[in-house]
Amino acid sequence: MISLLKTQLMVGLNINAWRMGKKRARHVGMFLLVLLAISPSYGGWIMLQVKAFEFMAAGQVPLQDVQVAGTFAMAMMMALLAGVPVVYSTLLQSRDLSILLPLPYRPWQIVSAKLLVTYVIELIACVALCIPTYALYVRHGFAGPSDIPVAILAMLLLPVLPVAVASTVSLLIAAIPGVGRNRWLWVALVLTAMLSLSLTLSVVSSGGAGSEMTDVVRVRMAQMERIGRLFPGAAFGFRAVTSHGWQAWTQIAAFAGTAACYAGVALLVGQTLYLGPILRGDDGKRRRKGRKPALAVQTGMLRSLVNKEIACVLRDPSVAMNSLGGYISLPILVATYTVMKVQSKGKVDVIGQLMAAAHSPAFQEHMPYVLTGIAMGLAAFGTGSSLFSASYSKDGKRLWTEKCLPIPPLTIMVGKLVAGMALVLPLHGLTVGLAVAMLPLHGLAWLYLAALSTLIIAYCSLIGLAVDCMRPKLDWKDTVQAVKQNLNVVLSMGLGLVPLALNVGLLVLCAKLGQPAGVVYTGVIALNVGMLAGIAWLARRAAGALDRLAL
Amino acid sequence: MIEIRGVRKTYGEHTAVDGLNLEVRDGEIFGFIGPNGAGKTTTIKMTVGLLRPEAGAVLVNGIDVAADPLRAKMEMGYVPDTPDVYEKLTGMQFINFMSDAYQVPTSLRADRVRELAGAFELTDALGDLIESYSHGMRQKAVLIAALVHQPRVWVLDEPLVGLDPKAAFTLKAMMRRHADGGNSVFFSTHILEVAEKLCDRVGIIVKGKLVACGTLDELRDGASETLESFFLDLIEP
Repeated sequence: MISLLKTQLMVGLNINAWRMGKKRARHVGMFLLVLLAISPSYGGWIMLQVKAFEFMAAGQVPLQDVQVAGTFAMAMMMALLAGVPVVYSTLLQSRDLSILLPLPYRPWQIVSAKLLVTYVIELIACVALCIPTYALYVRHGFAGPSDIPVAILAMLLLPVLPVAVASTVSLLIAAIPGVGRNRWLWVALVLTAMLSLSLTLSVVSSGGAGSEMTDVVRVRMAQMERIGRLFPGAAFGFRAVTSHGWQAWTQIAAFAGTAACYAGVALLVGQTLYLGPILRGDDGKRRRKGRKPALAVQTGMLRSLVNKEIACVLRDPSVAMNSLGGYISLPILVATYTVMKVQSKGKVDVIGQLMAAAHSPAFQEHMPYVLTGIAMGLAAFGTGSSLFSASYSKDGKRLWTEKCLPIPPLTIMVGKLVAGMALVLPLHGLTVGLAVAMLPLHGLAWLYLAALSTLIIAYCSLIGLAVDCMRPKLDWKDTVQAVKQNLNVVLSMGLGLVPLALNVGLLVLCAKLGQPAGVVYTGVIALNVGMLAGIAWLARRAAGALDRLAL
Repeated sequence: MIEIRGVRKTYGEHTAVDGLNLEVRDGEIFGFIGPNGAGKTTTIKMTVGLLRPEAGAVLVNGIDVAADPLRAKMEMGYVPDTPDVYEKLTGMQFINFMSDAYQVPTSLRADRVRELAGAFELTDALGDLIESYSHGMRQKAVLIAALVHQPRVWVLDEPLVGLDPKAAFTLKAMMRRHADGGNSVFFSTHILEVAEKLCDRVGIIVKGKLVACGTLDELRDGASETLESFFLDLIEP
């Protein structure tokens, strides 16, 4: 069993990468980069805790217990949310069951070894969050050295509850026939959960405290209880870290018992729903049940290429999320805007301020310039992704299929372009529609906005396709490497800035010469049509690179 | 018919194929054998247009693969050594995609797919995503997709790897029938017993050069040795 746990940890946490020569340097580098990226937020979090405890100590504000319990509750929520994708990848994406199941282990041992990996990952995050708060709690004299062992135990037990809940919920969802293992469902679930949580937390934390300190404490404790209700029994943990002496030990014992119950349920569910169907061989049967028979039907070559491209993009969430990243960020931006507006009680309202500016005389005066800028901004949602610039790369070694088929290389490129456009244009139409609904635009300005932004998307897409066709990245183990760690994406974005710079140059020239609006509109459209024609000619030539590609 | 005329391909300093001349005639199964890294797959890739030879030419039914690749590719059905296919497509979507490229009409396609999928026992799985297929099932899907347009020339790079015994038997029988119908089968293999039993002629490539070529009797030159012992003598003189 120890060997099983050790192996799962080695594989799950990729420990060998830290030991091996070449990979070690890369992993250390990546780790330092991640540390650097999170250090401002983490530093800010610690500073906030320091200030909060200083304020409490100086003003005799009795919120220290709430502060510690609140941090533990927050860590639990974070572990729950982060736990779902980790459990999904550890349990449902694992490919080692064919090795593990024939070994002399009981099913619960295999499940617990896999859950241990999730637990360790969550433990690291929880400890990183809780230690600064608890250290300040001790430093300010709210807990003594004899309380520290209880706090350590509480921190060790802390991730058990969320990991158990995350695994149980994940396995119950995965057991839904037909849709349970659909990756898109999981992406949607995680995103919805995160947005709901941030909205809930902002609403809860801004909830009305009274003017008296006792009211503040009472309201905050009530909020904590509400969070605690998500995990029945979690309150034992919160009380354990804020109690002292034998009371603390009693609470931690109750918390340990609760954690054991949670773990037991998670193991039982795991054994039944995770390994059960595999051992019974129900997986394949369930997949095929009630499905329409597959048909052999002819379609045109180009349409077939387009269908294949769209299927390969949409059925692979990592490709789709990167390909349509600009548009996927829209709901996140809307949610962030809503959270900011709710938290500031309407004081921070970016869209409201923009709307006010749009109705000002200055906007009307500089309309051609502002509209061109907005068109570029709208186009950025469609072009700032890997949809086109990793279009060949994402095929990887499978590119042999197209290459050995009797399809001209140009048709392959056109297929990729049409498929990408079929995905981008409806979403682009939506963003243009939103802009038109929000801005006071007349018919021609609306048309200008739509036409210019579409032209920009078209030639930036062609730049991406041409670059990726000439130097595709075909050696990868996972499509994430093809679409995310691909220099072509950066290169295409860089090259895409050149035509945009020409547009800016033209606008500056028009402004200096004091040209009327009609001349500016015509000039910009003519310039962009010309660039589209030129880039299309270059892309056509680049398509031939596929013929010279050695596979 | 495949004519390989003096083709050469290098990878940096390494010469993978060095002035290779070879002919796969109509009505024959030609087995291409050689140790690992001898240049078999490189030769096959140049034959189907996946690689461009640095010198020489490959003609398929008289069509130069480099000069007129689309017509040449229409003549061929190719199965690679590893069945890397689009995992996010279903088996049928992949076969439809390949068939569309070969312009196989629906009326013919349905019957051919039914026949081939039935022969390889893949009918029930055609609606599944390829990512759920085993190695052998992927190999079968690639075989069906490569043969659905009834090409005259089959180019198969280690086609039996991963196939179950029944599917392997079916494929060997299909290869024989295809060749007996006046068509060509060019395939590479490491299984010398298969080459011995199935092939009309065999070519042995070592370090990019064709060191022996002919019928089994010609290779044995009257001796009673097996292809295996002949092959081992040849590569380890």
